[in-house]
Amino acid sequence: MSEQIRVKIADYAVKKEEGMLITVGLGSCVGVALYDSFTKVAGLAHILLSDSTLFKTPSNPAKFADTAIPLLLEQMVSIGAKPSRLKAKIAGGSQLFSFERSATSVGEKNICAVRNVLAILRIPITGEEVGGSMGRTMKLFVQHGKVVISTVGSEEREI
Amino acid sequence: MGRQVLITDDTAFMRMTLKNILEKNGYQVVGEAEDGQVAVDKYLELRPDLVTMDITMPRMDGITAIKKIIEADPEAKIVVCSAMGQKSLVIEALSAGAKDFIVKPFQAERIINAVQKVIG
Amino acid sequence: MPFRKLSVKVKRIEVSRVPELPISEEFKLDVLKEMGNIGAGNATTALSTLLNYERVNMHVPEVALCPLVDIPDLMGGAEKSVIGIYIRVFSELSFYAVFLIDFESAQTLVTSLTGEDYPVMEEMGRSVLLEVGNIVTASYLNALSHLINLTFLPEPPLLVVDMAGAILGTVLAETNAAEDYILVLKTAFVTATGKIEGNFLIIPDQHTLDIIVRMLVNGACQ
Repeated sequence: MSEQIRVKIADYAVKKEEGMLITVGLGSCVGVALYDSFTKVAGLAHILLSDSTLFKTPSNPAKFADTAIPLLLEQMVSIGAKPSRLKAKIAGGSQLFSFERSATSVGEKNICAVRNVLAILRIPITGEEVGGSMGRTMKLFVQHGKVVISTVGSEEREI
Repeated sequence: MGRQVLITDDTAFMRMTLKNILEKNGYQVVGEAEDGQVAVDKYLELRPDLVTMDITMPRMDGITAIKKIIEADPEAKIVVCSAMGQKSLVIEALSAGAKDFIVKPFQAERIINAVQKVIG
Repeated sequence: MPFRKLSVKVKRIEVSRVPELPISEEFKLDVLKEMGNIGAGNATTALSTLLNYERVNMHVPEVALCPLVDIPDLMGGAEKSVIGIYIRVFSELSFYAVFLIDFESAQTLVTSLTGEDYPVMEEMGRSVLLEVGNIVTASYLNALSHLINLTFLPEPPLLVVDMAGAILGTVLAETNAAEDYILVLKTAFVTATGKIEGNFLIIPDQHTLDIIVRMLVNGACQ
């Protein structure tokens, strides 16, 4: 079925063979797209925060890089993906508001956390568009794993 | 002249609004400041009869600016015009030397009455 | 130099002296909603007063608790390009406030308040929006301050234009929002110039909400 699945904030979804996964409004959030090209299994997560261990009672594990990505991977495996074949593409982690005093921005922390988690899971990042000051939309085409990014007022581009 | 005013607010819109109200009522706006530091500098340069002062501003807030202006000129007449109407802030502003405290949003009459009371 | 804390005497909150009570999530949400109600009247009155020389025909404030994931839809969708005015309040208790408004409402607001069609994205237009954000947030905080006898010091407002989802996600990430419900004050005005709709989000950080809940439960505030 060629359908479009929208991944909302602090959420993730998987799809096989056909269709598209899309997530909109990646500001300081990071979109993580994982793809197994052999079985055509795709997964997309919209990550809000970097570290679930900073919270006493973490609510939704899909919010955090350290918990969302492993869950995404698990779900992809359950529909046929093999971890060793996975490739990742990431987008987002921008700083929309320019504060005069900026320590590490939330966007940067998220990017860092995502890179770390992917490294631990041994998933290489083969494409990325991160940082900057604008919000992004990320589309993952399931048939071939193509990832396309767009921002307000710009053309779409592949990463 | 006795009716020269320096306006301080970090938004152009509020400066424009205050300027219109004051000028319509016969006051002369001799300067505009977008933060506390500029207000202090312009006060020393222009020596207006009255200053209107916002509180929440970048670089230097209004209360600090009031203190610095009063330090330089104990006779300075300052009226606060801010969205922050919390009791402790009003007290702090008045203790620092402001003559009145007007909470935004305000009616034009409120500003004019306050200014008249201070400089006529 | 960044905005400095004012030297105000803030009432000490002795949370340690407040006995531990089992507080349910539901109760916390009720408190959050009540906090919204307290400030909503003041905030929307402020907005009406600002618009006052424009005959305001209708004004609908509505306080709601909205699940985090549904918030972008309030603005017409996560990809819709909107204006966000962001104000951080770092005091003894911390809040994050965001005023979201679409371009059409923003233009109506600017025209209503200035009497001229200043383009929304140029200096005067932007400063109108910043000031409205400032006044609405301050009015809300003034009401809360009066109730719980604490002082809140907002930072100068910041303006951004981007996809609603991006703005929200960024703010939510910054607030370390572990809560999954956000307080939303929906305001809608119909003036002679046109319709103005905006969503005002108040996000206390987790620590703040816990303290306020305890204070209210224990009657610590008069």
